[in-house]
Amino acid sequence: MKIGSYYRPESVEDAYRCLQQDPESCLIAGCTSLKLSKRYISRAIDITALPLEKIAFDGNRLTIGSVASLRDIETNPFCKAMCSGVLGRSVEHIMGPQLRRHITIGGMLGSRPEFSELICVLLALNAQVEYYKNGCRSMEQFLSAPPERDVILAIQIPAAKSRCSLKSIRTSYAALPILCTAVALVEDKLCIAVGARPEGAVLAKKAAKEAEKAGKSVSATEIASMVSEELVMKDDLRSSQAYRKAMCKVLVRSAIEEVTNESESVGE
Amino acid sequence: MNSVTKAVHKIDGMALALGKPMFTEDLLPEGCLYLRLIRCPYAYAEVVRMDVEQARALPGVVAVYTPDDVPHNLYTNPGEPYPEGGPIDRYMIDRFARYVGDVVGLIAAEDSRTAEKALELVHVEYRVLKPILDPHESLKSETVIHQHEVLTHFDLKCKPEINQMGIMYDAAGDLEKAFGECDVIVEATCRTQAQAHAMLETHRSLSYLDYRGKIVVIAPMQSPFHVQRVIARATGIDPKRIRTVQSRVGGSFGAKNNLFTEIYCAFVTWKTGRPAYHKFSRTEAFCCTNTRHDLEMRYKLGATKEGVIKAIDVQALCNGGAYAEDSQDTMYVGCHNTLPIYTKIDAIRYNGVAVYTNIVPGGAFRGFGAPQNTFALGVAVSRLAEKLQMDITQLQLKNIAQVGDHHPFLKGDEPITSTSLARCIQRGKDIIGWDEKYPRRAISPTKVRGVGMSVGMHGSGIAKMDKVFAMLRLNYDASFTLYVGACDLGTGSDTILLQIAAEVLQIPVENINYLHADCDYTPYDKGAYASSTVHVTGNAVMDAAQKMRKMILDGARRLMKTDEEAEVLYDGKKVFTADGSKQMPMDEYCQKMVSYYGDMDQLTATGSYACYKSPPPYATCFAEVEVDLETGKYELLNCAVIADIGTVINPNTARVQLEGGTAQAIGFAMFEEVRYDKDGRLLTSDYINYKIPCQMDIPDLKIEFIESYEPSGPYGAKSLGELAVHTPPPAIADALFNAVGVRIYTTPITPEKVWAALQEKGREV
Repeated sequence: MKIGSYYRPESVEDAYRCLQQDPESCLIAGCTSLKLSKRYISRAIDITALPLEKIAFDGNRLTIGSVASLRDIETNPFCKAMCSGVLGRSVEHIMGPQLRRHITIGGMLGSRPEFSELICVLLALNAQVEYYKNGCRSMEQFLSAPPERDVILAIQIPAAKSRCSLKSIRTSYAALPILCTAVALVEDKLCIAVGARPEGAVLAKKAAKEAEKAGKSVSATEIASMVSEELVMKDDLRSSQAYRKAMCKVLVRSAIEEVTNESESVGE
Repeated sequence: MNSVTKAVHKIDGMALALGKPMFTEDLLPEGCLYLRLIRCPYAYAEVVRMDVEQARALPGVVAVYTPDDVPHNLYTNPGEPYPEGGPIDRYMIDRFARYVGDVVGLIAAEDSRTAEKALELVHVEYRVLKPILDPHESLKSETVIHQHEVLTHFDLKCKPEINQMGIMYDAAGDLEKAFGECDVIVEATCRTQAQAHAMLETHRSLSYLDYRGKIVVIAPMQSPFHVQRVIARATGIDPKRIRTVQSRVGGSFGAKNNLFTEIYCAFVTWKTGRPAYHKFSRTEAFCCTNTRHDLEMRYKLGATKEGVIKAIDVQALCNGGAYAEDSQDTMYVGCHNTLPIYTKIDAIRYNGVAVYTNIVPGGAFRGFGAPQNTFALGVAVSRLAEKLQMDITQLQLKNIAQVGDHHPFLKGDEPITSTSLARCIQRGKDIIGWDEKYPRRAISPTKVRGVGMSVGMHGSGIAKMDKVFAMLRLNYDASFTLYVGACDLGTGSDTILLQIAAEVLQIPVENINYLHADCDYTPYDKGAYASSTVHVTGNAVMDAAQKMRKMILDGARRLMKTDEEAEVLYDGKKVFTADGSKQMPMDEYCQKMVSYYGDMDQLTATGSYACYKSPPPYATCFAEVEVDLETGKYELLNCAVIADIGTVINPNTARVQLEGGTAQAIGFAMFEEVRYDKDGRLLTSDYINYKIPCQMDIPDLKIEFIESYEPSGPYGAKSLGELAVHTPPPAIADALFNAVGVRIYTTPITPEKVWAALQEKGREV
């Protein structure tokens, strides 16, 4: 990363205006993934001093400010309370706690790494990305649209009585996952997200719909097979397509079993 | 024992903990030039035209050197003794670039940003050539990687015209007859991957002119003497004008055995008269230095039905990469520091070939071929145990070397004089709970646990080659100064050498000043490689200290005016006559020694050691894994390594060496892997894509030492540094087989490979 000039905006409005003025400008916060890029940034707009780090819970939804760090998400009581701490578990393999103090949730969403387990979880929990000007986007809309030149204020996660299970496979503790899945059960409806594919996290909507139609007559194994067939998998440095397909079945099945098993406290 | 066998703190330990300046980057003088290398983006290409005028014109750029602007002297990178063991095949800056990242030019600028900017202004036109990326293709390829003359000092069968670096052939006995008499024969073809050193501090060096016009080069090097020689050879600078000094080392593992930055710094200082500093980025450390050699090995073992191994035949293909560096030595060590562990053999053969390819050169890396061969041999022995339906620990105990045994691959045919390996195996069985756990236990319908084990050995220095010196001086204040050319790579070897001297002189370690690794001020040492500092340099220090003791006694007779026959003693504090009639404290002794009336020299002793044998240290690893049958993912639940390194001179440093080595070996066994794309570009060039083990990947290691006493070692010590990485990979592979019945012949043993093998096995059933 190379920076032409550095600017600390006084308000979100100020940050937004700067962003519009110069197409080569960029918002920066923890600067962890940007730093690794070869990108040229004419003007770096540092938003870390703006009041965007708050994590709040109003009984209906959890709101995570975009400058909250991954470490905040791991340690904040509201985040820990949501689905037995699935949010924290989705980031605990990323480097060490020191670095997770720097990585912001807004920065992670902005760089949209395809291997992000957090994005996979947010997708399954039907989270919303709240922009300053452009309003809210569902995670699905957010991921499928090109990056918008707007300031992300917060991520909102609906707090309906839901359970969520995250399953991942990786070669070592700190390695990027080969595949991950987050399965949420919201009012008896399954929401299945699969991530760490070379194409990033997606919802397996067809399989979830089939499962809903079939009700209790369809097994977790059958749903997992449908997910594996529905989603495109590819080869990359971390894994072959065949292994990803196979692991998709195993991980999705195991996640479904976990969220549908009444006796287990996990995910409550 | 006062010092030896005691957990003496590392002499630099507290300073390191407090962040005191001691590394190369801490020592930069004012006005340093910063260097950047112009690197080729193709796996094999020839520079047709280089336009550097724009770069030269950039304010702040002091010099840009193209292949035409530098001396064209053949040299080889390893900082090892003359005559070099491998082919001499590179130039400091060449028109031909032989791997992605190879050097085609050099920039020196007032600051690193300007150097970086200048790099973008250099325009190079290349003639792109067809690279060789697969070692199997190398010998039959139409591409010739080294089209120039390649020199060798020995008959290595180096044939650059067919991309052959050399052959390593060694054999004894009648192989055909021996195999004919065997009841059981097994084969295993294994391939181990390239591994990155991943040391904390990347390669770097600094140089400056001193007031006498000498070029002083400071770097985290492994041998000042060879660095001096190689710089001189590559650049043509008179070696007398070069002074090389080792700074503290922020991790090496062999990475800093080779000269990647020193030559360029010295050259720029020579040409410009300015201090120069060159530091590799992490990407350069991954892409443009060395890796562990990728080796393919076909092992064939023959044994009697009782399980006595009688015949071993090995064929190896060593992927040397673009430059020979240490490929020849890697094959040599891989063979000679691995196979002599089994001494009941009638016949043995090792036939290895090293080839050139257009990838990052394989180079010195902790173990030098032995971890690779230990893995393949371990897999073959595990197969043998399976075929004989024998507990592998019993099979090992029947075959391992015993005191008095000979082996044709032990140089000079010296017999084994120390081993406690059998006791190490017994202890390992107890620690892991072998008798209860072997071979497997089902934990759930999808999880199975298994235990496995392996054995390994190394050498201690290089027999009939290594020669080292040490000097001790008695000072006017009754302290001593030890001068040693050996290099502590962070292992604590400086501390251990001081412990040895302190033990002989019966004084605390703190009473000895220490001067190390400076080619102008310390005596010659072969350098820190081949697991030799404690055993080899330790012997020279012991020799110097023993000579010093004798000198002190001779001096005492003069100073105390006793007759020449009188028995005089020294206890570290004073000298005295045996009958108690006369005594003199050392303070007084030293004052007299340097006074006008002291009729004697200042006492200075030189010790030496010629390494006539390389006594093997041994280790055994016991591993317990839990395998998930659905995913192939396995956890290493337990890992015990029990080693025989002779006498443990410092239990602190020994423990951390073995723990660190075990962790490095676990990474090698389970997930570390250097990978390339189809054009030969390194994909694993950062810590996101190349993972080394973190704390969470390593179980609570059970590390123990069972001492033997090696008569040729200082106070009975052998070596440890490289032995530490040998045994975990084959133990993990054996444990996996015992757990789920699948064999993985290639490292790293990833969950995907285990899963694929389980699928295959499922289809067979």
